[in-house]
Amino acid sequence: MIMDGLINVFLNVGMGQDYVHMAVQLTVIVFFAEFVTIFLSEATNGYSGDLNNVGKVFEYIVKLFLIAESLPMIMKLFELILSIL
Amino acid sequence: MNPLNNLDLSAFDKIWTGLFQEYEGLQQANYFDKSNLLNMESFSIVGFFQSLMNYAVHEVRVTFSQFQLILIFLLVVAIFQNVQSSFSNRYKEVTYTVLKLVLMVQLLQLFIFYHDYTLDVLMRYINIVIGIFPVLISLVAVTGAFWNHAIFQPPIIFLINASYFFVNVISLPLTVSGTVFGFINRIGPKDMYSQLINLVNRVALWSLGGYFAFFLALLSIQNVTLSFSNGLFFKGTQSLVNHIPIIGPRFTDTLMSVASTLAIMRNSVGLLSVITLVIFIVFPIIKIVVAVVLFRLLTAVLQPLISKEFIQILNVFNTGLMNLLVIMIIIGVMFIFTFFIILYSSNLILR
Repeated sequence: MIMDGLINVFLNVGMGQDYVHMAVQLTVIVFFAEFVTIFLSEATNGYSGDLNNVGKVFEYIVKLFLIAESLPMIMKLFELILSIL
Repeated sequence: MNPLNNLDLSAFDKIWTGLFQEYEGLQQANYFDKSNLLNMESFSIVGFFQSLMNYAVHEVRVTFSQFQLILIFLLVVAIFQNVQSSFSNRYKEVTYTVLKLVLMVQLLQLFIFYHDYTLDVLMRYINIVIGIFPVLISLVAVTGAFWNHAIFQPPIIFLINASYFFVNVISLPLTVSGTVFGFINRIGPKDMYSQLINLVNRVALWSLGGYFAFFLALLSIQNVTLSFSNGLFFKGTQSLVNHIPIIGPRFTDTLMSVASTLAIMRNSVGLLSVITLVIFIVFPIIKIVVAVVLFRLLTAVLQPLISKEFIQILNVFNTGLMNLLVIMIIIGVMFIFTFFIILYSSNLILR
């Protein structure tokens, strides 16, 4: 909601705004993932239990999510290439 | 009686109606007489260039929206990259790949738009050439250049049709392949196909350039040679008829007067053809030039801010757009030169 508001106020470029929205969304996801990773590593240092595996699983989930985000773009790219050839 | 009244110039009427409908600036322009396009006295060259400048400014406004969109997208990416560099590199590759794909989709959409536009303009341009070529060649034949009409017209019509083939089958498809390969080459971190892409782009342009040279060389040699044959034939007939007592010299004088009068008409229609071709092709060229300049500017502005991978993707788009511009200029100039050469050589006859 806040992100949509920010984009509407500062980045209102009309046509093709979806792509800018997507870039902002990816940025937010990656920074959130970085924050969680740091948080997990700090938690591991402070306690005797090992949370490295949790960190790895979280990393894979985020990467899979990012790859899933790219799938519509890959499909679109294929469509465009086929339309011009 | 004005011979222009009996001349069928409906081909020009259709072309100019289409031009007026397409470009609002031409509709409002007052630098030529729209009721009679053969009236060249009211043509103002300053007004024409002002109209071109107005169109360029209009195109800058239109293209700026696309420019702005990609600029903002890449600025977001630049901010992301700069902040990301202070964290780990854990998500860097995946995120860059996704962002590169998003940029490629936007640029490929734009490239397809400009490609379709170029193809459409060039096909219409060649159709116009085929439409007005018979009018001009008939006028050339009427003024005494019979050999031009008989020997020259079939190869020219063949070569004009061959230019359809060069644009449709060789140059534009190769430019598209080069650009698509260029984008695909930039998805991964390794540069694997750059030599192949260079080769494809060069073949696309050099094949058309070679055709351009061949076409103009053939046209100028044939035109000059045939003009001298026509002149010889004309002068020979004139001397022969002069030997007929009493009516001979009068007949040839009258024939020369009619041929000279028709030559003025031929030159005015020829000039109209050239002006029509120039005005038809100059607006699309301005549109593509504005896009090339704006996107090159975008690349230059973003180079210090963003990583090399994104700049290389922008360069692929810039190269594709530049190739489209070069193809359009080659085809445009080729047919304008064709008309110039035909007109110039047909004036050599009576010298």
